[in-house]
Amino acid sequence: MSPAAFIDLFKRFVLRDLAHNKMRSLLTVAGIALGVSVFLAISIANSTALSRFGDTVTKVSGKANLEVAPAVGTVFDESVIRDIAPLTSIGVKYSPIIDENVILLRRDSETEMVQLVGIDMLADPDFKTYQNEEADAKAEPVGVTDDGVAGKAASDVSVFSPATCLVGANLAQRLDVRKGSEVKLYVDDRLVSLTVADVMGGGGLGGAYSGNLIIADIACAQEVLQNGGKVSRIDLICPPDASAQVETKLRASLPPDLRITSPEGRMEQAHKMTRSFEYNLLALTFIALMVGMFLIYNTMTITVLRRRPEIGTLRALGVAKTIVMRMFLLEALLLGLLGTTSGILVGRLMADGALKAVSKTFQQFYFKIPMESADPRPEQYLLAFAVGMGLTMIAAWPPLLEASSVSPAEATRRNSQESRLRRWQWPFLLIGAALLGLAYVLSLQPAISGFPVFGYLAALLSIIGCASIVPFLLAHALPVLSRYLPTLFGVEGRLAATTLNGTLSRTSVAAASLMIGIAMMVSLAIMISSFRKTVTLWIDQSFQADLWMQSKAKAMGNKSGRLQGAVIDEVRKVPGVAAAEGFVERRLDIGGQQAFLAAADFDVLAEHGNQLFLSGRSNKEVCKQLVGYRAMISEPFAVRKNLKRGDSVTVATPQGDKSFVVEDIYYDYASDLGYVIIPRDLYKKLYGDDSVTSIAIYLEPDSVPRLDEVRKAILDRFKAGRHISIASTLELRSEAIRIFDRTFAITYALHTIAVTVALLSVMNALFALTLESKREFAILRYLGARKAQLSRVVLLQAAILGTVGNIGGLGLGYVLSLLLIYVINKQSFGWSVQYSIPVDFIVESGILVLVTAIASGIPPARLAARTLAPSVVRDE
Amino acid sequence: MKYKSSYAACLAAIAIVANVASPVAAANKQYRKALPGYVYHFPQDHFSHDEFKTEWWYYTGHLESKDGKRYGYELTFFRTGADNPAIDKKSAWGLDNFYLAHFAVSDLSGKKFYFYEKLNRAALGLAGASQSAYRVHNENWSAMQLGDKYVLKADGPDFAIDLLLTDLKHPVVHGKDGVSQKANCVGCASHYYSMTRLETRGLITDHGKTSEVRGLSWMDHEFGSNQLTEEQSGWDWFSLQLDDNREFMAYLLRRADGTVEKQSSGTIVEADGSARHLGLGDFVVTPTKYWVSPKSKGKYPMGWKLSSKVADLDVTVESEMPDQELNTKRSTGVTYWEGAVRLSGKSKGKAVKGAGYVEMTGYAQKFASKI
Repeated sequence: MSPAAFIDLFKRFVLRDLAHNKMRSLLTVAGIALGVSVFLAISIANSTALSRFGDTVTKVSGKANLEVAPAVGTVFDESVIRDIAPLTSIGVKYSPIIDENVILLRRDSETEMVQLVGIDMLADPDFKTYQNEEADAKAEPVGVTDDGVAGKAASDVSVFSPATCLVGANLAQRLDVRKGSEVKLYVDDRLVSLTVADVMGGGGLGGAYSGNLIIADIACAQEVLQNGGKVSRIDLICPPDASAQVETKLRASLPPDLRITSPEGRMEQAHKMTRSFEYNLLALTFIALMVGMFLIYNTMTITVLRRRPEIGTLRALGVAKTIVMRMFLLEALLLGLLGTTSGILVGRLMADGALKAVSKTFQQFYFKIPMESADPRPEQYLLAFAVGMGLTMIAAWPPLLEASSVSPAEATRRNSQESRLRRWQWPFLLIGAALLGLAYVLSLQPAISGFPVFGYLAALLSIIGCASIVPFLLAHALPVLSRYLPTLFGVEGRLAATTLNGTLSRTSVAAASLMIGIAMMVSLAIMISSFRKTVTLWIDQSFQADLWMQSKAKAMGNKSGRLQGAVIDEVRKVPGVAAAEGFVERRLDIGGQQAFLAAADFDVLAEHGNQLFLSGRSNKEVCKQLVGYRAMISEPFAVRKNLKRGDSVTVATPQGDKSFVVEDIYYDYASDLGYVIIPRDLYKKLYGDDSVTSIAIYLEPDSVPRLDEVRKAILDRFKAGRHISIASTLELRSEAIRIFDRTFAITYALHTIAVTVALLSVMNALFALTLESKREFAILRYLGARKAQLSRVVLLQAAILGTVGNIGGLGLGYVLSLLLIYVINKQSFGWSVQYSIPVDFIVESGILVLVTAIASGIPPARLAARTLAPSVVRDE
Repeated sequence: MKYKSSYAACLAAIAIVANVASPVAAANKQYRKALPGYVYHFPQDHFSHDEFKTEWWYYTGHLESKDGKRYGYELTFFRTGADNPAIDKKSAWGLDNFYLAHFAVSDLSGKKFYFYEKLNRAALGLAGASQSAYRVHNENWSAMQLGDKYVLKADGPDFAIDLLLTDLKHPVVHGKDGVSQKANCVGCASHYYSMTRLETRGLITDHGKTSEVRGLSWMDHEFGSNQLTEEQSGWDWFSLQLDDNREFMAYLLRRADGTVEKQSSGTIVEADGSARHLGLGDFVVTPTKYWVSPKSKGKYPMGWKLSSKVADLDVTVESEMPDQELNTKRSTGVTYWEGAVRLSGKSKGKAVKGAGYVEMTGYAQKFASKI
């Protein structure tokens, strides 16, 4: 066949049909578009989060190719510079740097977190490239001319004046800060004020943290943070041929709790840290994609089935099998192309929203980097395109094969396919059962490098398995329905059931799509509600203190905001306070992975606390044992590091690596990175750090009703110049739940999308059925059926599909929720979640889906009602 | 005389590192001015004078190794006081002084030039200049007095020196009444003395190979607090060591209008150590040839005729090699030429040869460096 003839045939045979079935074509395209757009938006959001981190790392480290950083905590003793300075003889350049969060107090009294970067303003210019804003505007290199030096007014402030800083352009613009303005910062429990020496341009260091930063000379930064003698990092620029030599030399001379890494190493670590979160988010988007796949499968299958007679006719007229196949292939490609392209466009638009939804989570749990606008990479568009087109082709493949297998003789036998599926229901059932069995086996397998590959595979197999069982279920349920429905709905009930049964292949596909959509919704709902319930229960049980005290800076989100240890004794003196327990946490690099090292006053915790342990032992029993080199670790840490009670965990300290025996594993939902908690008296000795992150305050039983009074008494005690914050457990709990809901907001959004796509597929199927039944409807009209009766048949069909989808969805959803909770979540994050079904939500959303399914039957019902008797019967 | 180079260099350094167009802060600290009547005491005046804003210790010299390789070297330590010194220091990095250092080696046999620079503050003992002894250092570079000897140490990726210096004469104070005037205003001056003939022995490490060297060095030490006038655009400084045991020093401050500052002057040191101040009218310097730096495009004189009736001196000075230009982007941001020279001619009527160092600034474009 000549290309022209093929195109002509394609136009007449395919395009005309697509145009004729506008609504269905549109639904299909929309389904694919939705799946692709969600996938793209999430992948852009994920990669933006990481690239913002990488960007900032690069901008802050400049040309540095090696860095010295602490393994535990965020700062270390600067005296090691003495060991590094001699390396300058072999061409090494070094520069100490301070890179800390501080809380900025804005003029509107709101606070926000910004980065304070302290650099040695005298360091080699190779380290820092940045410009002041005016120079940027004029696009001139910043230079100092004779005139510039001599001619300036003497009142100008320089970065070398005490308490001065440079401010990033973005921050300056937002806060309307300029040269000479003052910025106020909460650091620990202090409020510090700095004079702005200048505003930086967006290039180089000034562009780090998206320009939301404050840069000061290292002397000023140390004054502000009151951590004289401490730095966050030492950046090194080594001559390329000497870097191995330098690394070896440093390893030999530096204290054991320092890591020698590179900026790339830090980015790699950030990637590792956020991997679970990212991958799981991306995996969720596959739900939408999969439903989209079903939609295309659905559409193509129905098209092929509906047009069997026409295909047969074409074949009988001598059109080759391959031509037929090529035509349907082109149709699938066309739908895929339209859907994928519009999906990519919409996805790009959705990316900013998705970023907004995930950025808080990234900032809460992983790293504090501003992420305002999405930053897509070209390859992500390519990937989204490949995914959209690839999945479309996979989904269209079975119907394509079907189309090519139509023999010329079949032109006259309309329902041959139906009888075939009826025959195949048993093999499908067996395949389905086998897949479910395999899914079960897979669900027992461990994670591969922290990612639950088999868990996801099991979920996929369960979905396909359940979908394969649908024809069998329908074939047996529909005859039963056709027997009993008439008693409720009269003849329309019988008609609805038998028609569906008569077009089993179409019905099965529609029911299966809805089932999958609902299953996704149900499983995610179960997971989230179980999780939420677990967390709430955990907070209720293990947060026994009445009040929680921390520095203002910490309360406003700066994880390193501290209080002096002496504050604990002060608090204990307040009347009504029974006990106060100090808790301190630091970042911990353990085997290249990020986690937290914390220290607690276990003696107080033993008496007053109520930590829940995996072993089931009581809080008191465990805490009493926690003396010396013994630690309790959080469940996520245990899962990640594969540790059990009695194992030991090694932590870097300034005095070398120290091993701690794992006394027990406690339930924790505060971080998926994991905690190692050691006795605080030992911690003080090892790290020379007496400060605390928070203080748990336990009141005398008779003071508990006067909670607010005691809180005020404590606050009064620290009035003078100290900025502290005290929260009640109730407030803490609602804050925790707020963070929880924010974290899962994107998941809610995703499952809503899955259900939407599923409903599209129901509407799609009903349209097909209605068109298919045109002749029957015409005959019925001819026999005297009223319009209302015909539309009632269609609505009943919608109801039946909705019900079957709901029931199947509940079953599959249950299976998926088990996989999500016990396999995928556990392996990804290490959290034990207690299973809990949100009955209200499931019943409500089940009814909603049913109503929506019926409502989705309205347009096809209208179509049915419009059927005119004479016009069609004339064909017969 | 390196007054302007150093002073401007220090200011430029602060400007550049501060990287704001307005680096000159409100000067809270009042520094002492260099005024006539200053009486020198040695060794105390070798030490750091922190009450003055700027100060430097400059060593230049010619060295020859046992296997006959010839080198010129320059090792300079600068100190400049902060305008707003940290008062209540909670951080070791609180600024009192900026410490800068330059180290340059002219490989006269291989005709190659190398230079290194440092910029630090006193934090962690990374740099410093003692006020109670002659000990100045910047990381692992140092100059100090041990007994009646002076020890210099400096290194870079290609070169290192470890030198022991013996003063063969006494320090020579330049200028009149204890001040070396730079311009016609009160305090526009510095306290400036030299050790003009330092016998030098020690080691040089040339690309990993260490060999013994001998030679002759010159030391300048200058401190003051004032500003040069804006009309001054650059200067030429000569330090010449003649083989009849005489030394000659002169600086010519060039003004933007093409004239030479009237306060420019020199000193002739006799073999017995006695010195005589030379006014601008007492000597004549005429450039004879030029070289254009391919890097900075600055056009530098490369040869001079130098004569002084008062000093009974008439010599031709020639650079040992043209490219001895430093572009100190990190520490000072200034491009200048500081190089080994040789001379021949007549001194007190007798044929004489000798060696020395010449410094020239302001020939390259304005120092507009960037980071």
